[in-house]
Parts: sequence; C-alpha cells; structure tokens
Amino acid sequence: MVAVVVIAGCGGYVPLYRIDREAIAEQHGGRGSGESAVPGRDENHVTMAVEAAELAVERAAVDELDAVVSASITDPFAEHGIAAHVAYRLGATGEVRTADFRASGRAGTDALAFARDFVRARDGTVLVVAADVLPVEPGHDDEPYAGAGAGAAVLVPDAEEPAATITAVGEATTGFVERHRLHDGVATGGDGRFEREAGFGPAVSAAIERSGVDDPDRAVVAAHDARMASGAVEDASHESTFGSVGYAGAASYYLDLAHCLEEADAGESVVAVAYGPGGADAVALETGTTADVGLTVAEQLDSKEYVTYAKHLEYRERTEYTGVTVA
Amino acid sequence: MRDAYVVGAGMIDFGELYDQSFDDLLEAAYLNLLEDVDKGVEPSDIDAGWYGTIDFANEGSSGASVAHATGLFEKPITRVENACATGSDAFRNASLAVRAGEVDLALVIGAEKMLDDTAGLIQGAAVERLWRGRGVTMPAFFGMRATRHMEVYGTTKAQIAEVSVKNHENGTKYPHAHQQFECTVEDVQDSPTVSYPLNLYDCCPVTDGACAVLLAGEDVAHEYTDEPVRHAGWGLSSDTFQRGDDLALSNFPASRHASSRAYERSGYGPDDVDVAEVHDCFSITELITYEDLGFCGDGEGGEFIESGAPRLDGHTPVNPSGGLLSKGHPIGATGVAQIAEIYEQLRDEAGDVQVDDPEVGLQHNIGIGRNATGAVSCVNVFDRG
Amino acid sequence: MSGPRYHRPKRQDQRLVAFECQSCGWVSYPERKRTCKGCSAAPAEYEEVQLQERGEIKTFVVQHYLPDDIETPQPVAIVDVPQVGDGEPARIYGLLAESELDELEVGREVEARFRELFDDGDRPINSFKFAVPRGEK
Ligand SMILES: [Zn+2]
Repeated sequence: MVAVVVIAGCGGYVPLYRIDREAIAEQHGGRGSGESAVPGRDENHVTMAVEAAELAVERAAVDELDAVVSASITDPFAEHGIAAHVAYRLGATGEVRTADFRASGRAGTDALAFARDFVRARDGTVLVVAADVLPVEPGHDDEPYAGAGAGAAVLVPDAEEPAATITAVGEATTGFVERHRLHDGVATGGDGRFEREAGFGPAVSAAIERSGVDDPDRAVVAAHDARMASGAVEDASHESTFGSVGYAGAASYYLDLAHCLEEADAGESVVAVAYGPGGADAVALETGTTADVGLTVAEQLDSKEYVTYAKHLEYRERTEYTGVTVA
Repeated sequence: MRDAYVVGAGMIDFGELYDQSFDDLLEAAYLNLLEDVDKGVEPSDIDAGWYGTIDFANEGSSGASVAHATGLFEKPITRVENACATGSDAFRNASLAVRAGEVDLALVIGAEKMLDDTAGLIQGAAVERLWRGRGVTMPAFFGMRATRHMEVYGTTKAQIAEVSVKNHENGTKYPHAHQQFECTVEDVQDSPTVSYPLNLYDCCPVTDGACAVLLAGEDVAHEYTDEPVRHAGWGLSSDTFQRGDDLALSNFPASRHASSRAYERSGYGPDDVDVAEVHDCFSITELITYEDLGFCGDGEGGEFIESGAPRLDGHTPVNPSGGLLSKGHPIGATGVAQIAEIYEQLRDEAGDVQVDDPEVGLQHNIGIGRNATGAVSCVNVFDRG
Repeated sequence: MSGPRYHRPKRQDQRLVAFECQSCGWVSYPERKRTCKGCSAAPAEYEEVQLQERGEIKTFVVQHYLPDDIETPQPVAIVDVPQVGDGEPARIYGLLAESELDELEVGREVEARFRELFDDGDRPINSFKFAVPRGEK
C-alpha cells in the first residue's frame, strides 16, 4: 500500500464572463461588492470540467489515467454524469474507474478522499475534477454569490516535482444537514448563526484537528458562506476566490486549492477544508511546485468581461435544467 | 451531333407570390412559354420535360408535378436538383438529350416556392444535421469569401456594394424583377449587417418564381421561330474549399472549371461575351465571378465594377435583368430565368435593359452544397446560331 | 453524446482525430473517408493523425441572423488546424467563441476550446470551437 499520495498537478477554470454584484443590487436593491463568474452560453459542466482537467493533466505530465472522478452539486443530469465524458475526452477509456460525487458542498473532498484511497490501494493515477454552475432566482439573497467554474487535480503515488503532497485527510461527518436545495430551485439555508455554531464550527474544527495540521501557512475553506468560512483557520493566509467567482459548489474547493498552490512557495503547509451538508473534511498538504503551464487562477480572474444582468440570468440557464425561475 | 436551340421562353413576375401555389407557378410559366413561341407550339409537340427545383417547400415535387401543372402526361419528365445550379443544370440535361437526337422538343421548367415557410431558410441552411449547430449559413459561406477577397486583394466594401447598386438600377428597368428600387453605396452600407462583411442590400431577397424555356433540335427549331438562340457550350463542375486550395477561399474554382469547359466547347472566350447573366446571390458573388469567368484578372473584380464595365452600357454588361439581387432567387427557377433573359437579349427583345447588339451571351450559377463546404457551378454559352 | 449520428464522429469531435491520405498528404476532418478529396485516390490509404488544439483563421464572417438556439452575433471562420508533427493542416469550419469582430483578422491564431455546439434534445453535443487565446483577453 502506498503511504503518501501527491498532487502531481492541479488547475482551475474560471469562465470569461462576470456579473458585477452591484449590477444585481441595482435590480433588487441593497449593495453589492465583488463579482461572480458567469458561464458562457455554450459552456456546460462537462466542457468546464474538461478545461480544468486538461490543465491539471498537462501540469501533472501524466500519460495515463486509471480513474476519473468528478464532483458537482449542480450537474443537471440525474443520469448522464460528468466523469465518463471527461474520461472520453482525455482518452481515458477502457480499464478506467469513474465515479461522480454530488449532493453536498463536501463532494469535492468526498472525491479527493476517494481518489487518495484509490491511489493508495491500486498504485494508480487519478484525475479528480469538479464543475458547478450555481442556479439563481432573481432577487434571492444568494443571487449575487452564485458562481461557476471548475477545478481539477491529478493524484499519483509519487512525482518528481509534485504540486503538493497530501499528508493527511481529516474527516468529520456530523450529520448536520441544514442547507438543502431541490434540483429545480435555489438553496434554503436557515439561520446562518445557527449553522455556524451547530454545523460549520464543530465539523470544521474536528476535521482540522484530525488532519493533524498545526498552524498552517495557508488555508483554503470552501463553503457556501464566505464570511463563515473566513474565520475558520486563525493566523493562516486565507486563499479564496469567493470575492471574484462567488460560490461555485464543489468547484470552489479546487479553484481555491489551485489558486493557493499556484501562489505558494514550495515547502509551505496548507490545510484545505470543504464544508457542506453532513460535515467537513480537512486535507493537510505540503506545497511543492506548480508547473508553469497554462493560465493560473489569478490570471483567469484578471481575464474577464462583464455581462449585463439579463445575460447573467440567460447564460446560467440550461435548456435541460429548470434551475432558473425568471419572474 | 446536332445543335440545340432555345425557341421560346416563359417568364413570370418574380415576387412574394402568396396567392399562388407551387403548381400555380409551374402552370403560369408554362402558359407564358406557349404564348411566347413566335410561330406557336402545340403541347403535343413537346417530347419530354426537365424540371429544376430543390423543392424548398418540401412538397415532394417531382416530374409528375410538372405533368399535373401542364397536362403533359405520358411523357418523360425528370426532376433535376443541383443546388443553385438546379435550373441551369436541368437545361443542360435537356440540351444533351436534344443534341443526342432522342428528343426534338424539350420543355425546361424551373420553379421554387420559397415563401410558404420562411423558417426553412435559416433553419435548413442547406446543412446536414450534424453540421447545423456549427451555424454556417448562406451569407456566411459567401461572406467568408468577401472577407478573404478584401484581405488578399484589397477589395473594398464600397466596391462590393457597387454591384448591388448596379443590379438594383437594372432591376427597376426589368419588369419581372421582385425588388423595384434603386439604392446607393451608402444605402447598402447603412443597411443592417446580415453577416459581416455583408449587409442586407448585399443579399438577394427571398422570392417565389418560375420560368420555362423550350429547346429544339436544329433541324426543327425553325418550325417555332426564325430567331432561335443556339446553345453553344456548357460546363458543370464542383469543388470544395476543404481540398486546401487557397483560391477556393476567395473565389470559386468550380466556376473556373465550368466556364473553361463552356468556353472550350463553344469556341468563345471571355472577350467574346457581349452579355452575361451571372449568379449574384450576394454582391460579392458577382464581383468574384467577374474574375472566375475571366472578364478581368484575379483580384481585379473591384476595379472591374468601379470601371463601369459590367453596366448596361459597359464593355461586358452583367445582369441586365437586375440579377438575383433585385430579381430574386427562387432557386430552381433562377438558372432558367437567366437563360430566358439571354434568349431575349440575343433576339434584341430585352426592352429597357437591352444591351447593344449582342452576339454571344453567357449564363452562370454558383451554388453551395455539402454542408456549405462545397460549390457547384454551371455555365451555359449562347449565340445567335 | 450518443445516437448514431453523433457517435460516429465522436473521436473527431472530442479528440480532434483526423485522417491523412498516404498518397498526397491531404487531411480529412471531420469525415472519416476511404476516398481522397486531394488526389481522388479510391480507395485511399488513410492514417490517423492528431490535430493540435489551435489554428489559424483563413477567413471569417460575423453572423447576425441565426436559428434561435445560436447566440448572435456569431463569428464563424475557416480555420487551418495543424497536425501534431509534420504534414498538412486540416481546413475546417470553426465557430468562434468569446471573440468579437475587432479581435478577428485573417491570419490570426486561435485556440481550440471544448464547448457545447448544440443540444440533441436534453443532451449537449460538445465539440471544439475556436477562440482568441484567453491569455490575450
Ligand atoms: Zn490523396
């Protein structure tokens, strides 16, 4: 059994289009700061996943994949999946394991933990990829923060110059499920203060403790509520794309992680946490070197075009998905 | 082999013919043809028919439809479909049969009902289903040649617009033309962009229409008229830009192949052509056709139109009928109508658009097919026999 | 992505696999052919080649009137897509994503982007479009 698993390469994908949160505030009142990513009309979960996956695979410089694992909380298909499509595009067909994780913001770390176990058990190469487009309802409190994007990481037993080494995964399943969302609706969250105290806090602190990380240099905390997430790890540099991408579900975890690894120097310690209905996971990492290939998350955040409020609604709406209710 | 002669032509007014069915169009063109033949013709004299239509209206229109519209039963009538060269290729096929001596008198009739279902024009886009989502339409296919022509030869949008200005001016003098208005270069450039670099007035209208001509063997032609017009040469060719020839990005090699065969067969060259009806589905199409037919050198189409050479009073008058740009482009009828106009021109019967004493006339179509990656061209050359 | 119509060219559509005539070097894409448009060989001998995820605009238009399911203005180009390694490029239609008229010119380098071309009922049909490189935006 392989002891250590490394991230050979990772990468993020942020669509070109952004909605200025002030433009949303202008429609419905209030104030807005920052912006959120909007997918192009011709982008879907698979195409965005492929963008991130290709970058991660190229940076990892691996030839073959033994498993392709996806994570998404907004894939419109009940059956159809993401992993198999990405695998085909990348030529990873045949004796290849696929799996699609979903249903909780924690799906990103569910997939990562599965991938790590797969690498350890089968000494293989695994691509993990997450893609999400959060649905919006005009005027809903979450509308300004509905993000879109994708991120991916390639896990292998060992690499000469890994992007990071996974030193531990701390798991905390609490069974606390407050936030929920039907396929054709937006999320119901409940009382934020209650969630922070009864759900987020206990789960995240337990997960971090179990990961064995002490006083990390940098922290990634992916959750639907940025304010809740930002205070989770004291004294660490908090790496988040929330202010410029919004909440992109399972993809937020990989976007933030890629951003963190791209920005960090080698040898830093990182804890990367995902929180969602049911609990939290904390992944302990030691940074290596991210290959200078393709665009960094930071470069993609700078490369943008603003769209109108109407386009922000139109572009998120998939023909086969009724996630948008236009009043 | 004997020669084949045009001995009559029946044109109808092209336009938005909402009150006429597909069969009504055929019937009207046929009746006008019978009326037009100088010495008259008995329907029973007609041995066979060739029918040009792409059946845009999707009515399952076949040779039998012509029999129904004309009463010409018990005779072989064949439908021909070859994209925008449909009408001219139907004519070419009829002529071959007449030349072979199998048929003495042949009806060529082309018709298209374009306006019963306007959605079809964009949705269909003559593109196979797999390619439809790739969003390539007719204006795109021709517009890409405009972009390339401007890039490679320095042709300007104003020069391209001049073609439309000329043809609309001619169209106001041609009674059968759909659109009867004049426009300026500014009007063309100020009209809405359809597919950059083409504007609305760079594009032909959507038009219903039909036309019929009668072909006779040389030994019987004089039974119908003392002024028959000889079908002197023809060429038919296809090409695709996918073959990799850069010329196919700015021009239409298919037009070059087809016209060189037609010139070779007829013994005439581009300098001998006194009047031409060429395919101007878009203004740019006519401009590059000047080059493809050899009326000017490669890349000189812009200067050629600027010089006034293709105007009614120019050196090589092109599209005296107003062309497709003002006459309209009911696809199956288009080529036949061009031939009808050449027939009138060579008989000095073209009225206000008559050019000065022409001896040799040329008719040309360039069509698209095969997911808009391919082109088909038909060229027919005529003289006074 | 399935149904026989979309299944047949799936490798070309999703992996940019093309076919090179062994007698004249002409490259067929997306068709998988047994005759050659370059030299008329029939049957021609073809070998699979991999296309690069980039190309050069040979000419283009920007369309303003299209079926409702395609966003306008929609630029479309004829793009020469080189092979990986030596050999002729494939000359193909490419829809352009995220590209404006003022960014386009003949000779411009574009990169291939995996996008949804259209949908077949509920299912998206994904293949390659081209775009002005994101790094230049
Ligand atoms: Zn060949």
